[in-house]
Amino acid sequence: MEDKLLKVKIVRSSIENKEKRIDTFEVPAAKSMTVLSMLRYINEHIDPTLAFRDYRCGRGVCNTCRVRVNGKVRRTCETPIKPSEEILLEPAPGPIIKDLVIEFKGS
Amino acid sequence: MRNYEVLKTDVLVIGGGGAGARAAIEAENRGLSVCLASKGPLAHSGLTPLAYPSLQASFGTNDENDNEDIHFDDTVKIGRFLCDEDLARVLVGEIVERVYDLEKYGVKFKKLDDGRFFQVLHPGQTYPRNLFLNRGGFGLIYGLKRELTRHPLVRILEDFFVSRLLRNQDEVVGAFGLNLLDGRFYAIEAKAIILACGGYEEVWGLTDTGPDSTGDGVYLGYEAGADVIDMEMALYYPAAFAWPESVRGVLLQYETILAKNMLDFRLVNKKGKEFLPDGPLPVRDILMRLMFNEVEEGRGSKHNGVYIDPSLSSKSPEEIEEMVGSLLKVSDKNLKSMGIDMRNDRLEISPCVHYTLGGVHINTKTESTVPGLFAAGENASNIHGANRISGNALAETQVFGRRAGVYASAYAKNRKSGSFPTGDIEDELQRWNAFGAKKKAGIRPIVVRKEMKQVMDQHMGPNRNEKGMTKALHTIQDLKHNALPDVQVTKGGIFNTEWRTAMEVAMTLDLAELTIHSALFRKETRGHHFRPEFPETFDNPQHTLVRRKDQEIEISSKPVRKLT
Repeated sequence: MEDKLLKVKIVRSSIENKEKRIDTFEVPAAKSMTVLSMLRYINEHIDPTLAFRDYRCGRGVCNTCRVRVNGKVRRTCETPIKPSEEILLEPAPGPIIKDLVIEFKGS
Repeated sequence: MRNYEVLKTDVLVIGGGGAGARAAIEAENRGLSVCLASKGPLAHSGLTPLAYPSLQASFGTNDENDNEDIHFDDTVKIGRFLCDEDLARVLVGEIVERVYDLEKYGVKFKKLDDGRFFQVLHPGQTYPRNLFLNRGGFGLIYGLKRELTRHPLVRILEDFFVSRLLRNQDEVVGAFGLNLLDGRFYAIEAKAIILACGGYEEVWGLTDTGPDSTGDGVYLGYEAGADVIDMEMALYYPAAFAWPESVRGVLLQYETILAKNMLDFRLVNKKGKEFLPDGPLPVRDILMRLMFNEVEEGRGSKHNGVYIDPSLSSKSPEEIEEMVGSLLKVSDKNLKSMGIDMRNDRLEISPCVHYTLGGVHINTKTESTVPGLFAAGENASNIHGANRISGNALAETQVFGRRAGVYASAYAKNRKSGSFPTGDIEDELQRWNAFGAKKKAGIRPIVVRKEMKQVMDQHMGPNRNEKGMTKALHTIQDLKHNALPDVQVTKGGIFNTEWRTAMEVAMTLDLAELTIHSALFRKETRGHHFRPEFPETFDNPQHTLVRRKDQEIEISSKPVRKLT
């Protein structure tokens, strides 16, 4: 069966270029994908310049992978995606370094 | 014009996990300036935040007969007699004090009503010895991170990737690396350097570690000429999810889940049949072999693992609920959000690479064989031997992290700044810039990484034979000489992760090569190193030693240090 394509919008900017833009990526919506594994997919197959924090505990403790998923701050490692959804990703609150990467201050 | 920044410090600590943070605190306590360079943000990168649940120390809450001598005996025996006994002795003798330090830093442990430490028995321990950290390894590193704010002479560089140590003749005098936050290169001049970068698990494919565990400190030590030992010893954790994909590589705390006096869930093969022998839960090297054996003989699960079956437990649902609530709360919450219920679902698991026992050989002062270069934590070797008991990893970060701080400070105080090897810096800049040069047929670094991991899983897994390993060695050498030069990335810019990945791939290919050479050299079976062609275990255990001589790898053996 062909995988359905999922539309993922990601808000991008950086310290160098503060102007925000939204990129749309089409990702095959495989079963049991998380937002984190989807970000990895985009980075590996579509756009190597997409920046996000991939260093993580993978067990829902460390909060390293947090981003805003459809407006709500979520740990991407434990947020499953539903194949029919349209997804908007923005950086979690904090000083933005690049794309979904923020600086951690005392947390 | 110089195209890199220069920083100066007394002590440079590379690695921001439990060992590095503890070392930085200790050096600063001695009045020295410290630079702590971490590849990611503190408490949000490295291996320490992944550790679960805790460390072991012989407080003897449940049995007053426990003491450091028994902790020592357990460590040496379960380590299959490959650990340096002087290091193990230091570990067991100092960890109790280090736990009190952690409490002073505000790290919280689970306690009984009377104030004593809550302790549980993990496989290989004679008495219940594992403490229970609030929020596991993350709780530990978070406490150390907070403590670091009270040490103003520590300068923390986060998202900073060190790719080379700088030497003046034999002595290390600094380091060079890329700061992802500003996209600039830095040379750091230092009077003493501590390596605390963790292990090289990411040389393999199926691991429960993060993508940053690329053995940077082992590579840096080797490159600088330090003795590196026992690289073949990759430790398998028996239980990480093999399936579904969304949780693949997520660790399941088997010590709690399978223990008869805890959840008492059972390991079964694809026929639903239990295959563990009667008696206490086996330690890691034995358990992982029993599991792989099921797979090899055709009784494995669909994704080359086995199953944890909760339905065969002798415990009542109420008892299970209570234990999940008190011991596995975080894991349970995490799995629930992924649609997995550990109380009722059959869980498909496989052993995976969890810890690497090899690394930079140290003495009890954490000195490497290179003057001015120290190592601690998983980066160092060999405190555990050919297998490691649960609870000794976080313990080693605190004991040897502190020691590295003490002895590196003493070294730094007695040393004057020497001249700085600018030629090496130019070489290293060239190495970085080469990844950005236009290639005829450029490939992405992840393509090379994938091939490396595949061949390491296939031939350098738990079952190692001469033919397969030789094949793996050729593949790795081919990748190094023919694929790596074609790796092409866009260089420059802020937070350029692909540029960093390219350098990590170069480092890990060297580490993979060292690992295979070491595995071929050890013609015996010991702990996690299993060779069907050489099933015996020698009476006189030896470290496998690799050392860089000119540009070549020199392999030999080095006696294990015994206490008489």
